[in-house]
Amino acid sequence: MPAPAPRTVVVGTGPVAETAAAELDALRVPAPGALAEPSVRSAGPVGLAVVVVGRADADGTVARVLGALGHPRPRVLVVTERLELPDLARTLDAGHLGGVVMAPWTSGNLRRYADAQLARWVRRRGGRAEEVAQDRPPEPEPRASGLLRHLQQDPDSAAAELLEAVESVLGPRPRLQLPPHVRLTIEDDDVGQLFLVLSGRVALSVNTGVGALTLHHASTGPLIGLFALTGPQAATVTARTTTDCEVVPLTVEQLDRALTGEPRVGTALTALTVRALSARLRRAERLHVEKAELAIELQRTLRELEAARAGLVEQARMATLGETAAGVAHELSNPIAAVTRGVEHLSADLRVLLGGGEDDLVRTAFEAAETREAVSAGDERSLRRELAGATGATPSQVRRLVAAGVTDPARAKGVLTGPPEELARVEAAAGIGATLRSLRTAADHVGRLVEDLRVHARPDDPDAPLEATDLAATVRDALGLVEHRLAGLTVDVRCDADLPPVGSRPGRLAQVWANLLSNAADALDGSGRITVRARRTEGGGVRVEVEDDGPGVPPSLQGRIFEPRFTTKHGVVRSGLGLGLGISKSIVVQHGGTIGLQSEPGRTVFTVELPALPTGPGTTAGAPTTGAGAPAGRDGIPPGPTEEKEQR
Amino acid sequence: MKLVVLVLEDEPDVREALERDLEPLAAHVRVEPAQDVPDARAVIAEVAADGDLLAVVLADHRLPGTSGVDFLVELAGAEETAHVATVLVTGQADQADTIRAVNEAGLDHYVAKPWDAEELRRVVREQLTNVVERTRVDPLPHLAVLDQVRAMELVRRRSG
Repeated sequence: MPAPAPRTVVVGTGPVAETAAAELDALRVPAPGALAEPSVRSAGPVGLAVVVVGRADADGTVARVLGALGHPRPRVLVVTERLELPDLARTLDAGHLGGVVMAPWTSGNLRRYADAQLARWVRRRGGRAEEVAQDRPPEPEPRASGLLRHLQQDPDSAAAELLEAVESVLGPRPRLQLPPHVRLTIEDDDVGQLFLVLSGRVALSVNTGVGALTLHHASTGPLIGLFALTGPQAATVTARTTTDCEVVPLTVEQLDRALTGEPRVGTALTALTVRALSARLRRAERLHVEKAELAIELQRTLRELEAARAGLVEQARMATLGETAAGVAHELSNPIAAVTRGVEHLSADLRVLLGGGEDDLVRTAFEAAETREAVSAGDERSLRRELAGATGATPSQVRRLVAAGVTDPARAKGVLTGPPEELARVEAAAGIGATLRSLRTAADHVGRLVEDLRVHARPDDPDAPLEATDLAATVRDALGLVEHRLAGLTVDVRCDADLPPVGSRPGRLAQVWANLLSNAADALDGSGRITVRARRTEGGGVRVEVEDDGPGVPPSLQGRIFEPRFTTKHGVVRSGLGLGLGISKSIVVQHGGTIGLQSEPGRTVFTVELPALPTGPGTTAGAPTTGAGAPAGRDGIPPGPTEEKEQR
Repeated sequence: MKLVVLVLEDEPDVREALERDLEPLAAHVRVEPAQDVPDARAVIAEVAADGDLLAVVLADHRLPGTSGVDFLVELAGAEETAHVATVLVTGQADQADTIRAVNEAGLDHYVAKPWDAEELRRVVREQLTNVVERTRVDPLPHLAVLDQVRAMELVRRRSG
């Protein structure tokens, strides 16, 4: 069922409004308010409001009309007797002004304009304009404009009409049949003629710094060489056939003759020219928009490239740093081995040199100093008090005796009653012992740093096979490794029973958990709770969370916490080089996993996700091994002192 | 009654070295080591119990827990220790710490690490003399560890 035909209403009073309503055979209401009456809209939608504007504010009147009619919004024709209309700007700006008609009008014109408006209203809603005619026969166009008619023709018939008009003056024109790739005009050459393209397609292009650029192809139109019309000048484009074409060449002089002889030529030529230029202009406008969009896209791409470049530079920097560190570690391992061995040789040789038995004061002082822990200042004070009370020695003697490790009153008396240089010898022996002890501690420390560096910088052979590993066992190993650091803390471990085996290199995963546990212990500083959870992920891998209820990692540090050398204890070396979390990340990444951090005061969670054990080459099949396994290869690190002594 | 010099330093080796360099004074002045601030408070209590007089504190700036500067500020603020001469012995005090020590702890002297033993003893003598002058303690029993010229002047003034 076709939609009810749209109606026209006339709004206004006085003779103009009455004449309009009569000509349009339309309902008239005196004021916008009356449009709200149900009777106005019951007969079907209003497609056109003819608003007769007197001296009142035209914008306001139109707005009230549209407000009263609501949806669908009708088109608006403003009818007025005024010659000045300063009060229609808002209506025009809102896109609501369909047209303006000056009263009085030639009888019949208002109806023609109104029908055209209604036809547009219908077309806009997807209908066909014929429905507008209602029961009135369409009025014949009294003064058909040739130009407008031509402009609305399809391009081919417009070209044919131009040719027909030209031939009516010049006689038959020869047609040129052209293959593709024939140039009709050449950029920078003089243009002396036009080409009317009857069939086929032509591309317009220009030479640019980056090669030939096609300006128009679909938008070329049937008329080539338009610039010839504006006087003798060089062609700005090259026109080239892209298909088989049939064209008619016309020199400017021939065209001039045709124009003089037949007015239809002018109309047809103008129409074709306007069409061609507006098609080209539309394409140019679209290109302009595209250019702006591309510029934005380009900027975004540039930013992404910049970020990618920064990432690559950072990667390269880290790789260089890693190689440097590995090189340093390698270079350090030999001297440190020499120091470690040297300390043991010195220690053994000195014992030989000192000779003496168990009760020799000098030897005892040496051995005590070599092994004893540093005494706290408080203990030192009470030892001094006791010794002073028991021996009656001077404060200076007491200080020297205690410093040399002679705290037993009987021994102290032995030293004091011996030869005068005895105390000096005891002190020297204790000094040497203490120095050896410091050297050993320092060498151990450097050795650990070297090992940390080595692991961090030159990780396991990436081609070495991953072993199927029981994850819960690696967690147990880690707890064993850091047991001494967890004193006073509540540690809760929950490993699900159905954990799948994960691929790992011996000892490495335990090292990760140990680092995370140490880190949590550091954060808790002696009291709090650590929770370790391990469960299967949807992807068949394993997620391990190490959570503590410590103060949390400040947001400003969270981004950098996995960087090597990062330590929250400013100036204090932690976990070897402060590499702990960096090493953990390296290991996790080498195992194909991810590590992340979520932290707020009272809840800090490190989450490690490891993928399912890959099957196929590169994986040792078989029963899961425990996580700890044999210690990692220690090439470059000196063997322990015991082995060394046996070799000598 | 003995004058007491408190050496507050957390590194055992450094503490030992400071004590060793103060050795020539040790016959006439009581030198007590402490490794951190709670330890130093224990020494202050011991000294008071023995009836001796805390005279000079040599404190490192960097200590575990409460910093040396905090401790010096604490001493300056307490009535029973307000007379104590304060000396910062440090290798890495930053400017803000030093300013605070001077302004709030009335820092008497600053000794940079590494120190010169002779200079260290001169500083301690001078500070001991200051404290004797400030507290009106009889200089005579302590002459050996005081600045000789100034001490004699003090003796003359007291007798005169």
